[in-house]
Formats: sequence, structure tokens, C-alpha cells
Amino acid sequence: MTVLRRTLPAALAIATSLFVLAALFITNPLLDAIGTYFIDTAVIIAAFALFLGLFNVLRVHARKIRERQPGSLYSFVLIGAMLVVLVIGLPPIAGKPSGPSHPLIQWIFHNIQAPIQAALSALIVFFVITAACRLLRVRNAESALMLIVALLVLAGQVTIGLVPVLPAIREWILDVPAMAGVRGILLGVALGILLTSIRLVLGTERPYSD
Amino acid sequence: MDTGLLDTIGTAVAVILTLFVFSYLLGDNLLYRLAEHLFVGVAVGYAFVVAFHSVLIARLLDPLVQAVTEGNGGQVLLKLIALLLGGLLLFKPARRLSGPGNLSVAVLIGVGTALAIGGAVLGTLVPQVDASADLTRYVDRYGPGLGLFSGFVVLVGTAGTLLHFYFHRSEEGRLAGLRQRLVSSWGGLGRCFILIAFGAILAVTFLSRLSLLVGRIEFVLDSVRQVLGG
Amino acid sequence: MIYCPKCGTANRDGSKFCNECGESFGSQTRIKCPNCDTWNPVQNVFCSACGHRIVSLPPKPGVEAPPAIKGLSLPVKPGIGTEEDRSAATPGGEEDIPAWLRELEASLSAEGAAGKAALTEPAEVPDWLRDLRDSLVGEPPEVAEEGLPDRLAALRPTAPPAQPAAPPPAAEEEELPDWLAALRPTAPPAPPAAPPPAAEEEELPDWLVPSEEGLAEGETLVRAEIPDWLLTLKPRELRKEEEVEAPTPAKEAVVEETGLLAGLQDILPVEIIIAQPRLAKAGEEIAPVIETPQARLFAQIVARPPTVASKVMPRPQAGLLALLPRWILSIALIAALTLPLLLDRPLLARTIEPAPTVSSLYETISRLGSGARVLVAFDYDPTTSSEMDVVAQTLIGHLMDRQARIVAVSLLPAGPASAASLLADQAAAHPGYEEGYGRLYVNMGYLPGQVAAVRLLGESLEMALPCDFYGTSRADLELMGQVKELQDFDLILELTAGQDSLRWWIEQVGTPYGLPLAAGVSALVEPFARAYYQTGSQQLKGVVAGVPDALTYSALRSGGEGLTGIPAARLDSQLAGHLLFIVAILVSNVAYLVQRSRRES
Repeated sequence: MTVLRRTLPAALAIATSLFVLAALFITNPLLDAIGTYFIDTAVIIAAFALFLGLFNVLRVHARKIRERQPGSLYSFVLIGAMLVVLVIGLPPIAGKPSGPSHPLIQWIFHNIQAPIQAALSALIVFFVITAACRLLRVRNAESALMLIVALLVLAGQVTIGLVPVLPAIREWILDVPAMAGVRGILLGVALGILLTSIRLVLGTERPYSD
Repeated sequence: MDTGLLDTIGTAVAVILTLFVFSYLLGDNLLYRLAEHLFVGVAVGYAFVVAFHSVLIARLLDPLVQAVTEGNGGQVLLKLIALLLGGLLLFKPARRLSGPGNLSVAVLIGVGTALAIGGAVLGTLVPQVDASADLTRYVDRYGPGLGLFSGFVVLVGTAGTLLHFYFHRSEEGRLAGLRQRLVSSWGGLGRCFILIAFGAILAVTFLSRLSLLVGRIEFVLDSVRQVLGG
Repeated sequence: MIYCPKCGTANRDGSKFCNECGESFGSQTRIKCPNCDTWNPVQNVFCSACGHRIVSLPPKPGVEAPPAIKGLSLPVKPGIGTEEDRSAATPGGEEDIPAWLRELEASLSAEGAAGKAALTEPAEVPDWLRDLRDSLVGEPPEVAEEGLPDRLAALRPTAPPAQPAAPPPAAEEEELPDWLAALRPTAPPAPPAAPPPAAEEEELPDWLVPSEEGLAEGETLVRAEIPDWLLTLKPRELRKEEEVEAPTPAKEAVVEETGLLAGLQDILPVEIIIAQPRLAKAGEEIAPVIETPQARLFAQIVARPPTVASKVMPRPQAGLLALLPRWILSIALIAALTLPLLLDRPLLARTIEPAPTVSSLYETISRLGSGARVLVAFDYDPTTSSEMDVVAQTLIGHLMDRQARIVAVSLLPAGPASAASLLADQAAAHPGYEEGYGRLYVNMGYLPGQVAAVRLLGESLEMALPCDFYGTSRADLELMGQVKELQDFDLILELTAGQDSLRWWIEQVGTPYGLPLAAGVSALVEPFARAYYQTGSQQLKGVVAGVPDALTYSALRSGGEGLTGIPAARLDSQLAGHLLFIVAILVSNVAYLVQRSRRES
């Protein structure tokens, strides 16, 4: 059982990554074909993760309804909406737009999913303002620096043409000092990804086994 | 049903649901919860429909049927392996049966790892280091004086930021003290650059989120005008 | 902290000399363990390899270590672990040792190992001790045969050995002090409930009476004081009132019933000591209290008198007054954003100064020839569609102005639906495009797998895009017949609200294949997008970030005349929101500073 749970996945992960790496850096038709196949298989497996997500949501809310937990009314609404979309969208209809391009599915997407999703993200602004008022306080030199930079960038963004020097200051801040910090962050992230990937290829890190 | 009427109903539903969500400003309530759960149900269902049609049918079943029709045994085998690996992933949540699911995850991780290595080195590390080291980059834009100074600031700031992140451990050796002092002072400067970057990111984040709110208000106003205006 | 290798005192990091003894640290960064010779950092107190203490204990100020007493093993009274306790147990120190004992020690040391057997008569050795010695050799004169139990009689030496294991000669009962009489093995211990026998005046037998021979004139033998800890072993019923009482144990005292110590109480049970294995450690010593700042602080805290616990304050209810600022802010924000949009015209006239990134993208698209093939990735979902739709509309509109052939894909499940409606809207506004689906533009749907999907596009376009959003096979789409591989595209335009997908496109497609890549991003991705724009190879040919840049781009498209109408109203609304945010932060800071100065004063 340990072989199936740990050894085989480790071997498969390392072999896959070595093949794909070889395909990326060595020009060889066979290697290219194998690498492309692995990448295509990864694309398909990733899609199955969506199915997994659906089953999990169904399981959680079905249990809520079965056990009549508080809030089971909302679970009814959730599962009901999901079933309506699945019933309309799943069957492939030959010769007509079906699936996600079905007109009813499009109607549901544009008039229910998209507005709610956009409104939920728009609510964040109110909390960003109150949080920023608490965060951007002049407690010490560091917080004062952050505050000044934030104010200059904000002021320079939309005062286009009103106060000529502010956009120029904003441009310089984003191009030079902020660029240095962001570049350091990007390099740090890239180095971290590289090191983690090398550890995965060498087998010292195994996030895929139990 | 008339498309125009359907559109009008759809717009009305969208406005009502938007207002349901904004009612959260008054506190958590039934309307907000209804809208939230409705959204989750629809979104999960829609994602499933998209994945089913775009992946299961378009990338697996149709090519499989075609390969069987053509008698291409190799293609059939390859598609079946991909289907099997995808199916094994569905057993991951079940504790006893989750073992085979590790194979699917292993393939995902293996491919992602290899792509990450290639991409990080050639796509980010090399170009970004090269750009940081170029002191004359800003001369065209800001002139020789300010341009060179800006290039120098970027170089010092980038190195300082990296030092701040990566070189915190104390070391031993003859020059340990000198190295320690250099790292702590340059890393301290790098910390200032990180704070500047965070200040700028905070400002642009607010700008971005404000745009979302402006967009929603604009949508509600336009819809109301449309309904009132006929 | 750095510990002095000489005196063990803790010094601050960076010290060059010890505060206590002045030992120079120099450039010492390591210290050697005396036990296993392992090198340890100077901060270590114990060796990291063997656990041996490598920093010597600092000497306790004002207290010297007691002189070692050779040849005697004294039972330790509970609590004795420090020099203070030892000195308290022996008040007065060396002066309390009686003269006879001092002389005995001197004579023993003078005569060496054989000193014990070669004691000179009689001036140094008292009679009682001489008699005691004799009794070890021969028949003790005062022994009453019938007073000894068999087991003790068996212990009496038959040959003249030098064995000190024989029991002391049992004197007659009336001649022994009470406490010594209780030591006799024949007498069973008196039960605790029974009244103790009256303590008689102590009458010493002759052999125990100290001889005064050898004493200087006027000098008397000082009776040796029995230490308190030894008195605690005396059975309670035999004690006099003024004698030291042992601390009453929490439970009933255990009286030893068997063996040589029968009748005594508070004897440590042997079996417990035997049962617990003790590991002998070389060099183990009783550590004194280490005078560290933390120990001192702890002692201070413990020494403070207990304070009365304050009443638990009830959690303050968020009253209307507390919520008022948030309510005011929310209402003010909504009002500020709504007012310019209601007016539908610009409040302020502005001149447009596009950022270099925006101008660069405008020029890149303007240079595209008619019929150029452009791959557009709609990598945003309705979460950010309020912002990204504005960016996407203006860029797609410009592409259609240039008669570009557009292939749309998406890495998100909800992306193709947004792309479909946006493409349809722009196509309706551009002649020729309305009926041009499949020939002028296509929507190739969802591509799962994130980074792997992007790479697959570069490896095999056919495998990556088998059919479009509506289920039509790629073979039936005219435009897809013209693009066999990714290199057939003249430009790749990435529309995204997250920096991860931007990075994937640059790392997996833009740089490896050398394809021109441009980006329309959300404002919060702008700092990261600029980092890729500012590289030597210009990994991004141009960037439009957020609604302000998008509106600026629109103004460029309309000939640079400036913003009018709805776009200008939107910008005014954005400006109002920014100003409100800046005012809120400044007011919050002023209030905070005033509060802080009040607290400090």
C-alpha cells in the first residue's frame, strides 16, 4: 500500500517533470511528443478538479439539508440553482448551441451569476477604506513613508491635466523606487518557485502523497 | 418569449440581486444570504457545465470515439490513460480510496514543476536581473542626471529587497561581522523600498476596487434609466 | 548574550570585554567544550554535542564556597543546596568545631593513614574514645550479655579486627540519655498515641564523659552542639520542649520498625532510593541561582504583592456613535461616486497625458497591418468585469478598427461567456464584423490547466483548441484554418486581473517563443506589469492598466481630443472617490495624532 501511496507517485512525478524539462530544453521530436502528451494529460486532470469541487459542494450542502442544520434553507436554494443549471446545460444538443453557450445558460450567467459576483467584489471597497484608515497612520517613519507614497500615487492617478506635476511624480515613483521593490519581490518569488521545484524534482518534497 | 422582454426581465433581476448584495452594508440579512447562495449554486453548476463540454466531451470523448473509428490503437490507449488518471482524482476525498488519486496529483505536480523551472529561469530571473543591472535604462526618459540616478536607485533597491528577504541568518567566519553589518544596513534600505512598493500597491488596489464600485453604481443607474426611459 | 569563558558572566551581544572580570573576548566567536572538545558558538551555555556546561558558573558575590570536609558523609537536610544554607546549618563556621575534634584531625593528619591506629595516649584522645576503641578489640566491659539480642551478639567481633561495624556497647538503661536509650534494638518503638516516657536528665556513663586531660588551664570542654537537622530525627516522644521540632509532615510520620534504625522516624525509605536509578554524571554540581536579567525580573514579579483582580469589563457595545464614522464614510462614498454619474458630463476639463506604457501599446496596435492575427486571452471573470470590461472594450475596439483577426481564449471557466458578449457588442459596432464570426473573429472557449494550458498552446495549438465556445470543431472555422501554430499570430493580448496569469503568459509563451505580448490589466497588477515592460527585451510591448488608462486610451483612439461624455463622467466619479479616500486618511491621522498627544501629556 505504501508503494501505491508514496513510492509510485513520487517516481511518476519525478519522471514526468524530467521528461517535460527535457522536452523544453532539448529539441527532439520524440521528447517533444512525450512532453506535449504529459502537458495535455495535465490539462485534462486539472479539469477533473472542477468536478471534484462540485461533488464536494453537493456533499456539504446535502448533509446540511439531511440533518436540518440551521441555514438549510439556503442550502436548498444553492442545490436548487445548481440542479437547474445542470439540467439545462449538461445535455449536448446536436446542431444547436448547448452547454455553456445555451441561451438560457447565458441568460442565467449574465443576469444572475455575473451581477452578484461583481457586486460582491464591489462591497470590498467599503472595508478597504476603513482598513486603510487604520493601517495608514503615522505611527513611525515606516508607516509615514507608506502613507506618503500611497497618497502621491492616488493623487497622481486621476488628476490628469489638473495638476501637471502630480502625474509625473506618480510615474517616477512607479517606475523607480516602487519598481525596485516589486522587482525584488518578483525575483524572490521566482527564486522560491525554482527552489521548491528543484526539491520536488529531487524527491525531497512530496506534497502529493498522504 | 420575446427577446426584448427576456432582456428586460434579466436586467431587472440583475439590479434586484445587486441591491440584495449591497444590503450587506446594513448588516448580514436574509436577502444577502439568498443572493450569496444563489450565486454559489449557479457558479458551481456553470463551471461543471463548462468543464463537461470543453474537456470531457471536446478533449476526451470525441477524440476517443474518433480514434476508435479510425482504429488508432495508440491514440485510444493514450486517451484512456488520461481519462483514467482524471477519474482517479475523483477518489481523492475518500480516505481509503485516495491512494490511486496520488498518481493524478503526481502528474499535475510533475508537469507544473518542470514548467515552473523553465519559466522562472528564462522568463523572470534572467530578464529581471538584466534589467536591474542596466543603469542607463531611464536616461532616455528622465535625462542623463535623473536617469542615471534612477537606474542606480533601482539597482540598489532591488538588491536591498532581496537581501532583506533572504539573508537574515547570522553567519560565522572571519568577515562575519562585516558581512552582517553590510547585510543589515543594505537590507534595511531594501525594507524601505518594500514599503514604498507596498504603499504604491495599496494605492492602485484601492483604485482598482473603486472602479468596481463605480461600475456597479453605473450599471444600476443605467438600468434604472433604461426602465424609466422606456 | 555572550557568556564570559572565564567567569561565566552574561554580557550583551557585541561586547568586547567582560563586564565582571574584564576578560577580552577579542574576535572570539566560538568556545570549546572542556568535556568533548566540540566547538560551540559563544552564546551557548551548554555544549550542543554532549550537554556539558561550558561556561563556568559566576561566583556568588560575598559568599565563599564552604571548605570540603574529607572523610565524612553527612545526610543532607532538605533545602540545603546553597552555601548560605550550609553556613546556616553550621552557625559560626569553623569556630564551632570543638577543640578535641580539631586536635583529633590534626593528629590524624600528622600521623598519616595509620594515624587512627597509632593514636598516642592519653593526652590527645579522650578516655571515652579510647575505651570505645578498646571495645572494638575486646569484650566491652559494660556489656550486659543478657541485654543484647542474638542478632547483635552475633555481630560482636571474635577476633581483633579493625572493623567499626559493631554496635556501640549498650550501657545500662539508667546511665544512657533518653534519646540514646531509644536507639536500642530490643526496645520496641513507643506508639505515637502513648505518652512519651518522662525525659530524664541525661546521665552519661563514664566512657562517654569527656576527659578534661590535655585541656589548657581555664579551658573547658564544650559540649558539642547537636545540629538541628539531627535533632529532627529524635523520636518525638523523647524530645524536650525546647528542642527543635521537625516540620510536621503532611502525613503521619513513618517509624522505622526493622533494622538498626528501628524506632527512629522520618527515615528515608531505602527502597525508594534503591528503586530510582540515578545516572552518575561526571562533574555534576549543584548549580546556584543564575543571576540573569530574566531571573531577576521573574523574582521581582513574584515578589510583588498580589493585586486584587479588577472586575471584568463588559465588552463595549458598538453603539450608534461608534458606527457613525463608518456609516458616514459609506454614505459619503456612495454619494460622491453617484453624483458625477448622474450628471453625465465632465465636471472638470482635462488634458490627456497618457503614460508611456499606454502610448506604447497604442503604437503597437496601430502598427498592425490589416488582417493581422491576434490572440486575445480573456483571463478575468465577473469579479473584476466592472473594471476589465472597460479595458477590454477599448482594446478590442481598436483591434477591430485595425481590421485584426481575433482569436479569443480563456483560462477561466467564466471567461468565454464574458468574451462572447463583449466580442458581440464590439462586432455590432464595427461594420463587417457582425456577420464575421468564424472568419474575422472566433471564441475558442475555456482552456483548463492554467500554466500547462498556456504551454500547450505553444506546443500544439491543435491539441489545445479542438473546438470553440459553441461546440464547433476547429476544422469548421475558417480563421482557425489560417493559424496552425502559435507563431502564426502577430500579437498576443493578455487581459487579466491577476499577476499570476500575466506571469504564465510571459514565461511560457512570450519569452520562449519570442512572440510579441501586450497586456490590458487591472490597476492592481500595474506595478508588476511595469516590471516586465521595463526589461531589455521588452517582454510586454505595452500596458493599459485600469479604468483611467483605458479611458486615456479611448481618448487617444478618438484623436486625442480629450475625454467627453460618459467616460469623462466615470473619471470624475473615480476622482471623487480618490479625494474622499485621501480626506478620510488625513482626518484619521489628525485624530490619531491628537489622541496620542493627549495620552502622552
